[in-house]
Amino acid sequence: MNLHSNIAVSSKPALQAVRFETTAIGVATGTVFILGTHPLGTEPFAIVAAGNTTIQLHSNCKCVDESPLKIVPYRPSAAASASILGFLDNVAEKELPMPDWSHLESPPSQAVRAFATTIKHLLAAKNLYPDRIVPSADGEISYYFFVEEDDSQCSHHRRFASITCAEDDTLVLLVADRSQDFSEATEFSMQPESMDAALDTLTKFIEPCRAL
Amino acid sequence: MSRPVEPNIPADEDLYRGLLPEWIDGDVVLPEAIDIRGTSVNRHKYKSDPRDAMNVARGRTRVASVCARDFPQPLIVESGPTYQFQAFDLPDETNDAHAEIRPIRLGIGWNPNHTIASRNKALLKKALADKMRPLL
Repeated sequence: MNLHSNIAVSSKPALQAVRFETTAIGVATGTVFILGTHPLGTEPFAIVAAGNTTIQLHSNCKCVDESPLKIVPYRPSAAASASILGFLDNVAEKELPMPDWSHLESPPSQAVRAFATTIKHLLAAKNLYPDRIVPSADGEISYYFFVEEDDSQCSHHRRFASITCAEDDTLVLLVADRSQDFSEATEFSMQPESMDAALDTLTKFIEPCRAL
Repeated sequence: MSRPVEPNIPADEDLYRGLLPEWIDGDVVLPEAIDIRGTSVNRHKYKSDPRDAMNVARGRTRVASVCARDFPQPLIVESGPTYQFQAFDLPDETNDAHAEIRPIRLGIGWNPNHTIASRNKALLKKALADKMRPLL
C-alpha cells in the first residue's frame, strides 16, 4: 500500500469534518500506521490501516472508530513532519514491537536482534519504512518493502525488496520481480559506508514506484 | 522408536510446510519461510492431511506444499558451487512424517558444516519459496 506522504480522509460523515494532517509512517507486520496531529489542537492520534479497505482511528492508542479508507495526496510541512515523526518514535516503541519469535525453532540471536535494531533506525533515518518485519525460519530478520505499480487489491505483490540482517553480520539486499522471474541478492558488510550503499540501493529500487 | 529411514522420497510426494503468517504474502510464500539448514516438512505418505503441518501453538497457521519434482533447477552461484535441493527422510519419535528439504552441492552432497554465502542463501531461499503452493 502506497501511503507515504498522503493524507487519509475518512468517508464517514462524522469523521470527514476532521482534516487530518498526516503522513504515512511506521509500518510493521503488515499494518500501516498513519500518525497525525488534530488541526483543532487536540492530542495526536494514530490511524491504523488494516488491509486496503478499512481504517481504525485511534486516539491515544485507543480504538474509537472504523471507516473505509480514502487517500488523497498531501505533503505535510516540515514542522508537522517533525512532530509526527517524534510521535511515531514514541508510539512505535510502544505499539510496534518487533515480531514475537519466541515460538520459532531458531529465534534470532541477540547479535542479530541488535543488528536489526541498528538497521531499523538507519532505515527510519532515511524515511524508509518497511511493510513487514519478518523473522526467518533460520534465525535472521528481514525488512520487506512491497512495491506496486498501483494500489489495486491484488492478492500478492509482484515486486519486492527485502533487506536481511544475517547471522554472519552481513546485510543482504534481495530485489525481486516475480512477474519476470527475476531476483538478485547483494551482500553488504556492517561498515557504515557499506550499509549506506545498501540503503541507497534500496531507495533507488522503491522510490520511483512509490512516488505519487 | 521411530520407523526406519527411507533412502529416497518419491518425486511426486507432497511435502507440507507449516507457515507463520509473516512468511506468506497473499498467495505467495516468502523466502523467510525457508530454513537454509533444513526446512522441516511433513511427508504426505505418513501424514496425508496438510492440516497436520499446522501448529497453532507455535504460530504456524498456514500450510504450503511442494514436491521434489518441483524443486528449483540447480542454482549456479557466482564464484561458488552449484546448489540444488534434496528432500531427506528424517522421522523422529514425535513425528513419523518428518523430512527436511536441504540445499546440497552438486557432486558433494549434504554437509551441515558447509557455510553458504549470505547472498546465495537469499537466492536459494527465494528459489525454493517460489515453488511452494499455499494450501491452507
